[in-house]
Amino acid sequence: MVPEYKKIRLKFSKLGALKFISHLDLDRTMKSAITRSGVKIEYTHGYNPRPHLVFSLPAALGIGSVCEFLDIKAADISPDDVKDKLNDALPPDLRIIEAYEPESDFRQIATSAYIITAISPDIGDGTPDQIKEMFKKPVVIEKRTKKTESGTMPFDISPYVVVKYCEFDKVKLTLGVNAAASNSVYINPEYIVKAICSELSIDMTDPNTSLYTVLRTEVFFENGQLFR
Amino acid sequence: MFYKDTLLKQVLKPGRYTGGEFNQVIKDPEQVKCRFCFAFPDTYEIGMSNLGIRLLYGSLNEDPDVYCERTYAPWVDMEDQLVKNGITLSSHETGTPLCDFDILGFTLQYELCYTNVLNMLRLGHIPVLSSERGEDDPIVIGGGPCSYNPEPLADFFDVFSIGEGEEALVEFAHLYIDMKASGQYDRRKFLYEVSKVPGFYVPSMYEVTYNEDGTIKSFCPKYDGVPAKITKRIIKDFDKAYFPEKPVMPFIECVQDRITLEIMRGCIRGCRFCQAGMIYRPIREKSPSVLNEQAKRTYENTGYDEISLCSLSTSDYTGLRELTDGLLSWTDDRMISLTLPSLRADSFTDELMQKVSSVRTTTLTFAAEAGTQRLRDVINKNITEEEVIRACKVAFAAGKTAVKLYFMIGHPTETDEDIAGIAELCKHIIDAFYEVEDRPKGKPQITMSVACFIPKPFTAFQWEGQDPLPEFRRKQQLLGHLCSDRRIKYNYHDADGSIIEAVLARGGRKLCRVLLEALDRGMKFDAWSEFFSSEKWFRLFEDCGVDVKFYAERKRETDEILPWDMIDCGVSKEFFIRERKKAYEGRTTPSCAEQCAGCGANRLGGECTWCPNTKK
Ligand code: SF4
Repeated sequence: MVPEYKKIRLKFSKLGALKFISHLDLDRTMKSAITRSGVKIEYTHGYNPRPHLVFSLPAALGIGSVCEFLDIKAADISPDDVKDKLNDALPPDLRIIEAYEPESDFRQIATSAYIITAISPDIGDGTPDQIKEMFKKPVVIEKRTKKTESGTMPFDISPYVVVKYCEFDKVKLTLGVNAAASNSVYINPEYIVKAICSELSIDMTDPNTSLYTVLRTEVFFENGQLFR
Repeated sequence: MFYKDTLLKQVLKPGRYTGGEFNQVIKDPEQVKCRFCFAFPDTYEIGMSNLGIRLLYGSLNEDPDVYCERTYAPWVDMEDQLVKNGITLSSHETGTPLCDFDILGFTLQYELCYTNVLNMLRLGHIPVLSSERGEDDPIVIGGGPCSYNPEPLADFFDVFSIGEGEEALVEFAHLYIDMKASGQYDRRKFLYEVSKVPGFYVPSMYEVTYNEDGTIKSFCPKYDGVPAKITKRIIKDFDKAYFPEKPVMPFIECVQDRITLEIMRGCIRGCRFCQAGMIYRPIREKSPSVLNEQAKRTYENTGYDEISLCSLSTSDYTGLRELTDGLLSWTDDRMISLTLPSLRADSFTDELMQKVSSVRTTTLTFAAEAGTQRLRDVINKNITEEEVIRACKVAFAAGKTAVKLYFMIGHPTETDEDIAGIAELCKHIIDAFYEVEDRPKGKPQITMSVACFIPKPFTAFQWEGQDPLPEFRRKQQLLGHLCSDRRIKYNYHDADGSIIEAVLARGGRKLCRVLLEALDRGMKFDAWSEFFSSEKWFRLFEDCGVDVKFYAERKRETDEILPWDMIDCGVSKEFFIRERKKAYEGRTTPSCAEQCAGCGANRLGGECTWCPNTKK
């Protein structure tokens, strides 16, 4: 009998070492974990069948996330069981947070929320207003592109970034932002960090004195509701 | 993860440095008595593909008193970051700086990684010279194929492990633990004790003197009790040997990322240029049922979808049919594919073609090694032109248009006729393609891949001179002229790398100076074409007063003391001398499956498949 596969959406976190692997590597890591877990999932058809995995647009390299999504098709198993079995087979820095049968489509994701934390001795002088004002005017960065010869092009990110909150604490800056994260416009939060560093004249490249981390916390539909 | 995000964001492929992989071993360093770090002197992607490291990492970590961690050569961008920020090269598991370990073990896979070894010592803040290390510095130990002639590295290593390390290294760690516990430990005493343990070579315990012509006059132990010969260690019962069923799984894509089953050690063939075929003798097979179980458990622990059967000559494994049948009984439904890295043309069959997916999906490769039967007899590559052609026809009939052939030029006694023979053989394969009735559509594509002969220690050709550079180049060009056929793709490398390898492979202690100077000149990653510079190497040798010809081109007499004579690899010198003589007479030696050639490796004992028993 052909098993009846149903779609299951896995919301997962990706932290630590896993921040630094590419999408392709994440795909391989997930596949081998699914195999180990014993959860039977649908394979692609064709000459060289592979487990069929569909990811939502992933957080960029170097960015931690507690809000990534993966759709699989599994047979004869409840979403909760998939979650438990997979968590037993995954490396510690990858965790399934929630599993359910989805009603939406990844293409409906519009924006994403990030928490940016920066530590540096140079931070002291900034103020929250300075940051908020900053994004009311054009913020032009050199966006990576394959279209031009130099590999970058000037791009104004300000229409796609909303600063939710901003706290200065001597050597530490904590920032909550929402940024576009759809298939058509995707703002890598690294650009936001870079723009702020240049606004505040902070050097973030010395690993002995400075540190910044970016964490993706939530993603939203166009209407601002939490994506599910 | 121990290197900070800020640092990792500035390097290529940060996944090389994060650690945290699935199946990595985590222990509390406070709870163990010996902290060991394995250092692989090449990139993470290559190191993670190495079966030897998987074995040793696993077997050391089986021991509750030992914690073994890993580190790899940082790529140059990471090295820049480490140096710029004053950070010490550290281990993957706990981020411990290399200088804080008790023991640092390097695996030496190829000569061109020597500069990386030295560079990693420096980045790990460990004195590069063994003589300059203090009581708090780690003991630096080396092993792997290159340790069969460890002399070019003698000044940098405290000790070398000769032979198979799975058991020996655990014993070594325990000697360390015991001496520490009893309060008897100091560096010199420990090394002296180690030198008396079978299978360990401590270079500082030996004195070398030289003749005026630069050859070795004497090589003697300096102290009582230090053995004159170091006999390699072997695993006696391969079925019971440790097998890593929970290999660390890299997050990033590596050269080989799959289940690797080592089906046998040693090779029955006896090609006269091949070092691996000799140093891994005697020949021991693992039984199909053990392999099948190990494969299953590894699959459950990893979820890999590929199993590779690995050995020097897989088709010689006596249980191949039973093993492949056993594996296919459960791998097929799970969509796990089988791959074979090495196939001999004479044993390549339709059946293998059906069973092994790598055979179905990739270009088939056969090693012919030489172009004429005369020269194949000299090197004891017991394979005929008919066998090569038959194998290619099987491949063509199964729908392939492309095959790849390996050759080597520069073998002893080679003439231009032998070079022409390489081109001829490839042309005959093209003709064979058109003789196959159910051949696929299109044109055949023969890749003719041609390497340069490098005389290696512990081979019948260890005394031979290597062709001079201009001669190699002339032969390469000649072959190019003889192969104008567009259906033949001619691949070769410039010969200068092979010459430098030859120098390092057969050099003695005098080369330590050269390597030290190489480190000062910033040389590293010499196995990578983007960093390798023969000009730099030749200049280095010249500046150090080292005559390249002395090491590479000079033909040795069989009574000359060779730098590696203190090592007993099992196969006897008398055997190599006999084989050399037969080579010059153009006579072949049958494989061990047909008749034991009396190589001497059976002296080491063990459960061997073909070797006559002399010792249990
Ligand atoms: S002892 Fe005989 S059978 Fe064993 S490896 Fe040597 S030649 Fe082969």
